[in-house]
Amino acid sequence: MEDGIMKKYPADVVINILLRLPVKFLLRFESVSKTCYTLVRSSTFINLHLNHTTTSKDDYILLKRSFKEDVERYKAIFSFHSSDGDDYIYSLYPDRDVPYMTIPYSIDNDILIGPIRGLIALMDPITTILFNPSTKNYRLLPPSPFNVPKGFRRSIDSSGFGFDSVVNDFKVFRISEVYTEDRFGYPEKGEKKVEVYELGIDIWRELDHVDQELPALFWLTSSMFYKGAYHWITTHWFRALDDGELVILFLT
Amino acid sequence: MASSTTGEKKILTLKGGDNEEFILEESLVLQSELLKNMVKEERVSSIPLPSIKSKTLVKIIEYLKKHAELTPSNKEEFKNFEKEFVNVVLEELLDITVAVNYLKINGLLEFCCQAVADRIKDKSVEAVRKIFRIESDFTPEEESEFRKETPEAFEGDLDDTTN
Repeated sequence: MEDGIMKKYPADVVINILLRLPVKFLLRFESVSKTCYTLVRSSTFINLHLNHTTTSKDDYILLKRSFKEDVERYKAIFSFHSSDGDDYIYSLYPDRDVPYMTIPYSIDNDILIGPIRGLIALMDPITTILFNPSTKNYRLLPPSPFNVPKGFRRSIDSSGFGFDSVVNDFKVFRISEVYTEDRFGYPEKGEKKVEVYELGIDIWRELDHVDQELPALFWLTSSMFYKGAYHWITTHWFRALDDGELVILFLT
Repeated sequence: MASSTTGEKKILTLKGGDNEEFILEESLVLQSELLKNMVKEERVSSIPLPSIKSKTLVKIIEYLKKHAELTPSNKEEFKNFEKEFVNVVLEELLDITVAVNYLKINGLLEFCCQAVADRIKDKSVEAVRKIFRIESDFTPEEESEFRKETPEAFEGDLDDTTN
């Protein structure tokens, strides 16, 4: 801005206005001039824009429903609803199929996480789909390539999606326990595994040195991404400690 | 320079870009961080604002007066006033926004920036260039590449820059 291409208006005013505009406009603003392109693509501007409070006009309700299509076929649908503040709720866009989530069983265990920096993750124990609500595009992430050895089982404690501001990349992770069963079919104490996927490099890896004393995290208990870290509420019942201890795990 | 007073109220003179003078109560300008500092620290009674057109200054003073009268009971009336306030041609609205930014009147700045954003969100690339007086520095090849990739961004019916 300082190089004089934007002669008429001070840069801080222009930035203040741009922060209030949707990504769709910013993509257009890129084509205005090289300076505009550099500004809109700078990490400083992107961070400001992401942290800018959106107005209530941008709010909508994202609803994911699953319909039984056939005996063993359920179809997942995204609906986008908004309201004027009265009782009347209307549809903003046509419903969208979530093709990768058309599966042979009902999907009670799906979770929606986000939006985190503009992306929403839709996860079931196996599949993760990233969804960009402003462009309505999907991306199916590759499943974790780490399989369990023969005779072992995996129980998934928790999955999640977040943004790591240190490496500037989105991450998906899965915490699970790999265990065997004794001859009566009862599970024996297994090993905790943590797998992390980085979107930018498209690679899954398994973390070394996972704390085996990690308390049990249940798939359906509330978990959230807040201020750069993932948070769970877990009961510590197996150690007979106080209930409701807050666990914070930093993903590295 | 000593401040002139009438009764208890201090009076201040603002001088617009074309040397037109505006006399108003000092308490009104305290809404502007810039003027507040000048009044409190430098104890001036006349402030030249050569970069702000008189037409713009009239609008801003009108806002300061209305805002000073704002009470919980006339909130609706003030909201209507705000709506009317930004209902001017885009170039004038931008002049006001730039002046408000310079004067640091924070609440009004937020309101003006949002009003500009609402007005330009559907404008084409060409219209945005005209509105912000930006000249394209892309090569003709780059320019035609953009037009090929996002033809809708350059569509002519969005080219109205006055509203």
